Amino acid sequence: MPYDLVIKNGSIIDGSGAPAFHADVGISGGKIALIGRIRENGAETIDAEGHVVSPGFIDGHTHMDAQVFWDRIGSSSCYHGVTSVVMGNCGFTLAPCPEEQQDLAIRNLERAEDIARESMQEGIKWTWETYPDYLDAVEAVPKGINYAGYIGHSALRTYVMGERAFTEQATEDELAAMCRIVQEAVRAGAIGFSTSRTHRLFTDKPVASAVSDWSEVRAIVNAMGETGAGVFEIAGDITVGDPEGTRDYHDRIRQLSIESGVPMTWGVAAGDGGEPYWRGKLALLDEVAAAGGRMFAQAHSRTLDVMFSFEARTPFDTWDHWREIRALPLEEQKVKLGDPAVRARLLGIADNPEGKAFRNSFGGLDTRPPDWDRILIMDTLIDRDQRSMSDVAAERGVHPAQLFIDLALETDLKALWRRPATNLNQDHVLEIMKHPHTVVTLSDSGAHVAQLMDSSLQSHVLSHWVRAEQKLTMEEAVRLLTYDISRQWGLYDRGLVRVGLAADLLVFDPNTVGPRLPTVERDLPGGSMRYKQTADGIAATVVNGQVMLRNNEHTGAQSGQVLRSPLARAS
Amino acid sequence: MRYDLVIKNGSVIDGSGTPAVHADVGIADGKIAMIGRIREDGAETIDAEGHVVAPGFIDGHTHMDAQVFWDKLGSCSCYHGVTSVVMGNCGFTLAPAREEEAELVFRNLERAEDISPDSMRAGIKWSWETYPDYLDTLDALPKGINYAGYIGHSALRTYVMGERAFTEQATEDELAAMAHNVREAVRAGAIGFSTSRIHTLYSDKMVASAVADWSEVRAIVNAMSETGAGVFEMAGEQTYRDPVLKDDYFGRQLQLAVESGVPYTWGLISGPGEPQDWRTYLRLLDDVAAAGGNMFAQVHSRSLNLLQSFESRTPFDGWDHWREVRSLPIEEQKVKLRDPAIRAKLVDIATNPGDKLFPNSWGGISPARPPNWSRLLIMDTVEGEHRSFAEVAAERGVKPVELMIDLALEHDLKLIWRSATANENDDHVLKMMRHPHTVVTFSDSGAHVGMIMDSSLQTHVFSHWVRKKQELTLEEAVRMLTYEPATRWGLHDRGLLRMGLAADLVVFDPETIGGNMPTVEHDLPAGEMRLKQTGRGIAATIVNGQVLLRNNEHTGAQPGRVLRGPLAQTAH
Repeated sequence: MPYDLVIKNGSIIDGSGAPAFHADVGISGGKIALIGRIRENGAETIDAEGHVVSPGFIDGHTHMDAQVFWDRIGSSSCYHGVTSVVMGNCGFTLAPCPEEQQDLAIRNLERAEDIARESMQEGIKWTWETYPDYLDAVEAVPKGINYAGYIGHSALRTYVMGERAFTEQATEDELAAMCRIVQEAVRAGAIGFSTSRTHRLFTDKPVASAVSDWSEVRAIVNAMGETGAGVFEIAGDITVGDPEGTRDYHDRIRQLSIESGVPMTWGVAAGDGGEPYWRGKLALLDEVAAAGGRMFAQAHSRTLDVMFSFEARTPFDTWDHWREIRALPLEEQKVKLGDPAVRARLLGIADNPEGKAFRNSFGGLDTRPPDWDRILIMDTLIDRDQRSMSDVAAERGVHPAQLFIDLALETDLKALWRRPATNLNQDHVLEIMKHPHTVVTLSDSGAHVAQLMDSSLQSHVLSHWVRAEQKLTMEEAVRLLTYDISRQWGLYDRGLVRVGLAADLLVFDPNTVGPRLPTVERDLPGGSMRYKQTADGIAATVVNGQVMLRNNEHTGAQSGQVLRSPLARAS
Repeated sequence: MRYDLVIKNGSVIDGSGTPAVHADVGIADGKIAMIGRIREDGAETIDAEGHVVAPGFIDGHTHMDAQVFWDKLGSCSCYHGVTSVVMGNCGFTLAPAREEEAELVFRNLERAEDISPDSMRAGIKWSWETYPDYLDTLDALPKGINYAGYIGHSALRTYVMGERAFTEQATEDELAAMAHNVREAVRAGAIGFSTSRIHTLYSDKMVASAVADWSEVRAIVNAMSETGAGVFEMAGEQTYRDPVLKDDYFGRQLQLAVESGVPYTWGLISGPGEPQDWRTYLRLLDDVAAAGGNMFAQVHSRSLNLLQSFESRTPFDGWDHWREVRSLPIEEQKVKLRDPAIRAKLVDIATNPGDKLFPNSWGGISPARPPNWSRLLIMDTVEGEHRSFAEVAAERGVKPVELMIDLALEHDLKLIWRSATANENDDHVLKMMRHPHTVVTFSDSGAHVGMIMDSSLQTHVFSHWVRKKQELTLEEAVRMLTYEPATRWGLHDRGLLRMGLAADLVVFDPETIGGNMPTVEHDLPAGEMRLKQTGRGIAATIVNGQVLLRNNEHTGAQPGRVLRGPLAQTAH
């Protein structure tokens, strides 16, 4: 038969964990049509000799809800082999929301997820009110990858309650309305319902979802459970160091998971390497499974880092003296940073903030100089070769703050630093990744694009855990990023190389695949800045049978789809 | 939505090896439509509380080609959770063959696979010639489970070459015809091509496929490869522990696997004479994978045994004195066995046969030697431990043959004893099962039905390896019996419990699933005898969305289908 695309001579890693085998893959109509020996060429043919052919990776935790309107490829996740994402996490979505209230939705996303307001205003053409309308709008935009989305609690609450959502409990009628809207959204194709119990707005007030009593969350999740579908994602109560609060919170989510029958998911990280409180979270997953519930945690594949660069943000941007310099265009900053008098003032306050408190980019207050021991210079992607500011400063005999400025000037302000915020102990990270009730996902792609760059977590699994550390086989790694995730979110026609399933595929070189160093770009709508990170070694990224990226370069294909819940697809 | 069937409250083990989850499964139009929390009932609803819900098991090695015509269930495999089988192994198939050559085909199957020609004559209405015709015939039959089939080399060779198939090499034209037939068969839905390099007929002549030079096998497999699909199954060559022969044989296999790119498979056991030889075969699998080929071995989950009983066969059936007794109806045999004079003669010849020659159960003539009584184990339970006649006889102070007669009479002649022919070392069995390039399958169901009963290998995985030995988790065990065989044979819409895939499911109690004691039945066409073994702990066996068996009893449903290869599926 004539194939649209044939991928020849590759080593097939099917996503199930089964051992690699050599075969050709024939694709037609966007689906995998044959896995075997294919003599003829397709309309397009890729020679995958020496390469792995695997399912496209799936990221279950992104915030691409706004970005999908201006980013036609799905960056930076797409660069790392991701062909499908779940967006709308933590309660923050653009729907339901009528156009006249869009400012409220934008405010939520700006503040909780650090998505630039001007980008959203410029990049989004608001054409929806309900969640089903929103899915239709996403359907209509050209997309590089596939998107599934939750309906978010904060958006929902604001839609139903208006400004009261930020301060009050819902009335019975309002609660009933929220339940009904969630059921409709899931029946129309929402992948589930998401909430946050913790995120705060810049004003230090909780976001709308976090104002609600637990009884509201419980009622909505149980209402969703009645439909028979839908995943519940929660940014949970923060209870570290509070055994009583932890117990209470765990009891509540255990109960809800069991009574609703809804798969429940949340992120877990290994903290600072001290007290392994996260083991209690993993134990909870086991308990829930034993009691008949479905709960899974989302784990990252490495440290989660806050990134610094003079092109993006530094730890001092709101500090006295720095504030004025950092407000200038970059070229002028270079001049100022070279001026000994200015420099002295900057170093003075950086070393001693004199009891002042400066608001940081996460909404908290800084009163002390940064911990230079924990700020690493990103001049290489080999984690263990990255040295701390303290070490290099001592070697050069300069103060770390001075080194910070020197390195920036030496690199035309392109130097990058990272400060690992959590997941510090990599043995712990591996333990979490390997737990049977976790999935490796959590890029946060689309959010915090000026401070984080975790979209490379997938290619990091291959370059770090498989190649450098040899703690996972390639087959295990692929499975973590494909089948395991597709199964948890019910994306049942993806996540495996199997005849009849959607042809989301990667062709990558196992010896070179891995992230490149991030760069800072000013290419968002309105000229806003973001970190961008591409990857090496991925020869082809195939989405629904079309080559979307070749060697990480966009081919122009726009083959991404909206992935709707099973209820929508059955009807 | 309305479901035809809802399975509620089960522990869903999806076949991929991932941990069980509690969920309901909704089925519509023969496919899995929902996995989640389903409030409503279906047209039919099963409460699976306390049970595992798993994909139906797949057996990649059976000989049900003839049986499918008279057995509307797919026994005995179906009793052990099997919902799909691959038949036509080792080159023995009923097609291609013209009706007038039916006797030739029956002879192949009788001799190599011990399938009764009387049953075949009584049970099969011949209505095909080519392999595609045969698949169409199967489509029309009422079936309990799903069947995929190879086109077999012995049938093919006989079809193309006539009687010359048993003695000569193929001409160029004949070889081209065979290649053409195989390609046509695979395009029409044959799952692949099978051959045997070893089986002999009763006459001690080779079966047709084993007469062929390797070059013929190679040409046919490479021709199949041109289609892009098809699995190659082979009953391999005997290498007599000769390293030169083995190097040559392994070299040819590696070459063919790599040059053809065809998935290539054969059975692997740990033989009694060569207890470590299997390791060299596992190394071949690794070597082939490293060289870019795709080869996998079929392994069993336990020892392979000959089963005997007075209701079926004993070691002495052709021996003097025994011959006369054994030819009587079973009720009369009981009387004779209790007669002291007759009994004395039976015991005497069984103990001291002298240098006489008697027919053996494999169709040959061999010197009469008393069996090794320490290797004949009394199957008083399914799971064992089983004690030998030698051991118990010594304890009781009687001769083993006396014990055999006494115990048989105590059990109304229903007593079954076994002798292991391979895989006696459980550690070796486990190592073979766990190798990444093996699949747990190999029941031989449909063949040797009067002598072996390996259809229970799937339930044995649970009762023995999961429950008793705790060497496998339930999830690992299910994966071995579902996703892995489904993937190896390209049954892409089965072997996983996933929305959109075919609803072949088993609902079983992990605490009780296992095999029951085999029994001897005379229920084949023409009243022929077979060993039968049912299973326990399987509440429901669902095929294409319909409950075929409930607690191992047939519901009357006939939802089985012919599973065609991927080329036929895309053409449809």
